[in-house]
Amino acid sequence: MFNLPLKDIKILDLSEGLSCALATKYFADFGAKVVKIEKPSGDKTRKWAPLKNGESLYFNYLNSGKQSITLDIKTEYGINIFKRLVKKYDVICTSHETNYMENLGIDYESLKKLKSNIIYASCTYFGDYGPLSGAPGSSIVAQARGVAMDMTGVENGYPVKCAPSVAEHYAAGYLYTGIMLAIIDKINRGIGQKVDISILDSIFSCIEAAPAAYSMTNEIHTRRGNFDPAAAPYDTYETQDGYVAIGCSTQSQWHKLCKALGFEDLENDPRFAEQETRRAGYLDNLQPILRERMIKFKKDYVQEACLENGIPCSTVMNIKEISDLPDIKQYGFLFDAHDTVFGKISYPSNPFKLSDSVQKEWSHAPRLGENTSSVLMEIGEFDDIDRDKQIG
Amino acid sequence: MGLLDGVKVIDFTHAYSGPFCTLNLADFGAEVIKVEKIGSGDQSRAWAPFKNGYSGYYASFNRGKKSLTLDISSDEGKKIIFDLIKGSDIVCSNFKAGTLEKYGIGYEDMKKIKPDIIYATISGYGNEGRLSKYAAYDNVIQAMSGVMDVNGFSDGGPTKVGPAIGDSYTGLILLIGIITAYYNRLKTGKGQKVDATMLGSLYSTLEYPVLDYTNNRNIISRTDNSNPYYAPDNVYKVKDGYIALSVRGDSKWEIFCSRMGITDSDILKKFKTNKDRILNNKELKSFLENYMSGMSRNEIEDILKDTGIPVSGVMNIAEALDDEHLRARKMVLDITDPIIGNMKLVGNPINLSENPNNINKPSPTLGENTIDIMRSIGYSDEEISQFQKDGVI
Repeated sequence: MFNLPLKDIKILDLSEGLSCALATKYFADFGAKVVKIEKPSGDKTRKWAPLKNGESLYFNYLNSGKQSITLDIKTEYGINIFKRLVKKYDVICTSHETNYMENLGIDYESLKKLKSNIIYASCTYFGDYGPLSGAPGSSIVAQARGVAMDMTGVENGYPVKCAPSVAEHYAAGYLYTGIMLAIIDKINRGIGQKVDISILDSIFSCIEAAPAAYSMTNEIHTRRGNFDPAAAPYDTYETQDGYVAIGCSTQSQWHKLCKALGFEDLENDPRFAEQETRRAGYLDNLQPILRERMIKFKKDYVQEACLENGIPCSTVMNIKEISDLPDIKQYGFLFDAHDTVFGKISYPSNPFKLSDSVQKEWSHAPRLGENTSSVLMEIGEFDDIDRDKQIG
Repeated sequence: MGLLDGVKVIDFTHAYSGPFCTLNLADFGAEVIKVEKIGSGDQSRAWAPFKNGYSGYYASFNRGKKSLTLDISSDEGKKIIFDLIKGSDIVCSNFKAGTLEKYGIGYEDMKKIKPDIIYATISGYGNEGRLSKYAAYDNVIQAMSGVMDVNGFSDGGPTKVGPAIGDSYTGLILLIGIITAYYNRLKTGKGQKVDATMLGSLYSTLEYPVLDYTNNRNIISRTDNSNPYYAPDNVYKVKDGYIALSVRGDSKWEIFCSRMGITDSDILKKFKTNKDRILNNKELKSFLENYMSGMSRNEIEDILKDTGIPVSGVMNIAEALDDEHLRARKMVLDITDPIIGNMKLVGNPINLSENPNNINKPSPTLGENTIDIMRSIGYSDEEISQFQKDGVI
């Protein structure tokens, strides 16, 4: 039988921004009760582009299936309500720094006294300890500090930031996993704990073998354009009508590539006979030759010839080209939903599928404070007269 | 005691994406048994960097795992796999879609032996459809997903993200699926199949361009290192390298100017509001680069200390490995590998207060644990040596 696997989990989400919202989106998608606690003016992402009919698609995408209550936790009344809610929930999720939470008396140590098995999860730029803990952070600064930026771009040119917020995406994955591990530990041992995720640590974890290379051989893995020096030719080339990426990492793929594109002379060239020589002298020898030849082809021709011959290859697609590819909807990378406010709408799908656990059906993200009364009624707190007091 | 002590993972993954995923399971105490090809093993054993003939690449993503060599195409090999599966919880693979099915060890086959198995796979494009027959590499997925097109300078070409995020991010996404399925099994006793795709993983990181195009028909492409909503929020060339900084809002901009000593009234007027700065972003960038050209990264970091303005030099790996903060957070691990000697690895970003992760472990040599594992599933020493003679293990 299909089921919503996380239906027993209850999360209070105090966060703003991308990382925590994406992590709690996975929880909501699989059935957890996620209650967003928003300040009276609302989560700042409610205003984030892209918009439709003046409302944020971005917020709607990240918060479908969650509930929203407004609560000013800077007031005594708000804090008291929050503390009473904590007793009824399993997980507290926050993007606030510990100092901020401590000043309000709702940091991990304080909440643990209220509820000993609470799981307290925080996700901040620099994490909960270490010399930079609490320092101001941003997406571009995390990428700069986390080495990934130094590894991206053309050699001797500017380092390039990754346009998608990758650091925040990795952090969301670690946060979700950390919370789930803590929940599993709670099932096994009955204890709660603190989950501390840093966005900087998260992006630093994706830099492949750079630490090994530097510590073993003093080699600094820095930016090298689109070429990956582990194999050759593994690069992006300009063609007559656009760009194409080719991944050729084994000897047999090299022979196939030469046949596919009519490069028999290169196949017979002793300089390129072995992976090691192709690779080591690539930027000086093989890259200029391939650039000169590829510019004469059309990109689709190169892609087809490569794929037919078993060589991983793709044209460089822009967001329109990939999104318009029929496969993208047909095989579930993008889905259409009927949204009560926007009408027909498209969203990227969760990139993993569980064969026997369903996701919740699409629903419009909650209006600001939409669920305040029902959530507060659970703790016997709410009546209409109090409403202004607690949201104000 | 590890959080996942007692959880047994049969790991068919190789290269980067799959091992990145199972590394996290091993870090929290799961017993991860890598099933490797006899003779050559995981293909990343042949990937640089090398020291004493051993791959630092392999060592980076396989710490704390065990290695069993096995010929999975042989009937005996298949039987050994089924014997292993019986006592296991999770199976992982990142072969091209359909490979394990071809050997008769796909999900349906394994489910017959172990009904509650969690069977997790990574593929480039999924298990069905026109693209599923193609192999995928990170650069190809970055090109196809739209990631390469949005990175880089508007007057330059598309730019690959240097580290292979098509692999590691997909590995992390698979981990999310596995841990969800594992929780579901704790609750219901049922296993299931978990699939993650490289294309879907990277495409999902592009949420705002995807939302804007699919719903509003706006096409976002590469726009340098700048931020479309705030300025300055960019990477600047300074005396000794590059620096990233984010000044968000007009009051922060005033603080920035006053700390940096920017007093020219024409400049202050021209770049007064965030809107002015966004509209004149290119001019703002050249002004700031010119202004900061004689300053070092450290000087600028010091000047902006305590202003609430995020700032950092663009660090390379040599600097990061010495960074006090990353070291304090145990994100830089000093490992003594029995073959390589001293080396550094990236730590695990998941900090759990009640579960300090036990990660200072080396990776296994090829087939290091074959005999122990064979014994643990009940094979006698005679059978084991016969399998070795026959080239099964």
